Amino acid sequence: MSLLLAGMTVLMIGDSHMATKGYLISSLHDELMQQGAKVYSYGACGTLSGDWMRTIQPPCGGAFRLNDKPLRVRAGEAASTTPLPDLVREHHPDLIVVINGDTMAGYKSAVLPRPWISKEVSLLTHGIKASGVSCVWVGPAWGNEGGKNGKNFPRVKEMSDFLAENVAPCTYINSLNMSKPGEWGTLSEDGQHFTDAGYQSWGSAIAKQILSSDVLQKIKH
Amino acid sequence: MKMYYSVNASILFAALSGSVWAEPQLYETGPAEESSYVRFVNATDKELSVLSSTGGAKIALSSKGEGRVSRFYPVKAGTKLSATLQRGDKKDPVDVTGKPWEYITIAVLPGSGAQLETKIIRETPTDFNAMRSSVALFNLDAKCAEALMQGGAKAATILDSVKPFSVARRLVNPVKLTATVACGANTSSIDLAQLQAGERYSVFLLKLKNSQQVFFSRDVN
Repeated sequence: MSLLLAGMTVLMIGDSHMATKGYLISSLHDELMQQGAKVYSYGACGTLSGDWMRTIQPPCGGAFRLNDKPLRVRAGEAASTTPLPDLVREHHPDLIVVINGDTMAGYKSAVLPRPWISKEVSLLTHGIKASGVSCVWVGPAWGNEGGKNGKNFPRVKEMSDFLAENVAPCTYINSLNMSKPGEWGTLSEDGQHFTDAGYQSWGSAIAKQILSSDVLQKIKH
Repeated sequence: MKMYYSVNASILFAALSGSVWAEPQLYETGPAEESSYVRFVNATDKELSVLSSTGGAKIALSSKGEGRVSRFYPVKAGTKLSATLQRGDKKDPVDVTGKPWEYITIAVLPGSGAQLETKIIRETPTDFNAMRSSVALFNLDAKCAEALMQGGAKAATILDSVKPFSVARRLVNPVKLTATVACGANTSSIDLAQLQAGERYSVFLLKLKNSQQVFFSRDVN
């Protein structure tokens, strides 16, 4: 139990890493609850940052988990995103945690699409700023090179560096400092999504970073 | 382009139950297509219009201040953009092809006689930053070998050695900025007011009827 996190309400939103049982919607959600927080998690596979300011049907399903209630997985239209302002109105969070990066890195493209990413990220950060809620933004982890999404280490690093400079007012949490490249196992022929053990490691490392971040010191609750 | 596995059965099931296992996590990790961005700047002393190749769209550019500059229009990278410049009854064609994520400024200058002249200035910026402001100096004066921009209380050099029909850009802190743009002994002052973090600005230097002029615009795309 963390004195800083106890009694705090955390809203987590994210992409595929938050959209399947055993992923961060399990491991990180559990970690934060164990630290005494109320946690509301929403994941939508394949979503861009700006998709959390609009209602879109994600290309590969979604999931949500309301504090201690069971995880619910949804497909098709039922997986559609709820815009952040509506989620904030519903849950009144003290802290927003964004888990997003891989979906915008253009792993198979020759050039990082900076203007396009900037636009997507700023759509969400402007929404977060307007909500007045403190936030942290978790960037992509190393994963493994290859796989169907074309993940590769140089681009992950480039993407993480880009996000670090573009997610303000959120505090950036750099996942690349949490493991060595390829250290956490990924699913076969995937490279981007981790095994349950990998998500356990990532979730624990993120929770540790959130607990040690300055952002918690600033939140009054 | 986002890709979809066939999910007919799972969507049907979702419609019946509202809950299913997660769909396969396959999606593209970038934009549907690579873009470039094109804008027009009126560096003449008369109003002019830019007509799309189909004639369906018209951009009006004034001959004063910020009205001289259009927003950046997204264009599919690698695809030729054709447009027509119109001043009075006189029409001149212009076309340009952009590389992925390139920002293209088409400056329209007074040519010889009634003829308009265009100069194309390209940049592929990497300096996106939500905590700082990006300021550029465009030198549109053919006779200014090296343009210089200074600013702040100590007249610090912000950008220097900007050759004719080229651009230099850098990140600065989001402060209230009054700048001086100089070409040799000729200097002009310009008030950019309070710079906003995450925003991008362009300062243009041109010469009309032997008089140096400076104006600026916020980059919008």
